[in-house]
Amino acid sequence: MLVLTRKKDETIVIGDDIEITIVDVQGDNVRIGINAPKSVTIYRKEIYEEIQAENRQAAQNLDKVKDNLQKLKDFKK
Amino acid sequence: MKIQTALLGELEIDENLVITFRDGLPGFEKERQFIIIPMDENGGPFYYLQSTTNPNLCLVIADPFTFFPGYEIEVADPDLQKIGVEQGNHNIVIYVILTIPEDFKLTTANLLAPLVINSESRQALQYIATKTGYSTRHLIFKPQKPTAASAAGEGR
Repeated sequence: MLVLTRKKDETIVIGDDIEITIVDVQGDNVRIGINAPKSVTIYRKEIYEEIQAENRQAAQNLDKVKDNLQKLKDFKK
Repeated sequence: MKIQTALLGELEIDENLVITFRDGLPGFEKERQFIIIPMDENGGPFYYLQSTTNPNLCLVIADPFTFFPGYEIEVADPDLQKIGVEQGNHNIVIYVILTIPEDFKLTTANLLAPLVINSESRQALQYIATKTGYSTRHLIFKPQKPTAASAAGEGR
């Protein structure tokens, strides 16, 4: 991992079209401004990890609850 | 084409109906090709999302509007463009992934990250709707209301 030191209002450029600016620093909290093309998806990592975990859980449970699927269908009716 | 599935055995599917997730699904980033199979011959609201290449990967998905009539998401234009949706084109289908616990009545839907599918190009993505108040786990069945008798007994 590349580690750089930046101060408030300083910027990092990634490739041709991504800029990351340190907007503010308050104790443990760093506010970051990102300029990137709209086609680049940006998430807080923990949200992406939450979706990953939920998808894995959904796929894994299916095996255990195969018999429940019929009940699920009937319950809806 | 024939595909192998752990849950449904060998299936004959129409290649033209295969859906491509360009970026895979979070947690299964290498899985790109899926087929949607109604759980019931008559159609919804439950469907299987079965990988055409990995027999063991199958998710249960549902039409969210059946369970959450007020469900709303706004998918950003660049994301729609990724799956080939042009402006004014409405060939979009939305599903949500279900997590089914041992007590199926506690089944939850992931409203935070719905599947957005272009039904024409059959390109799809799992959209993470960060600016909504939705979470990954919403109960699809309303909890049973307590009966009048048990409610009256509360707090005594």
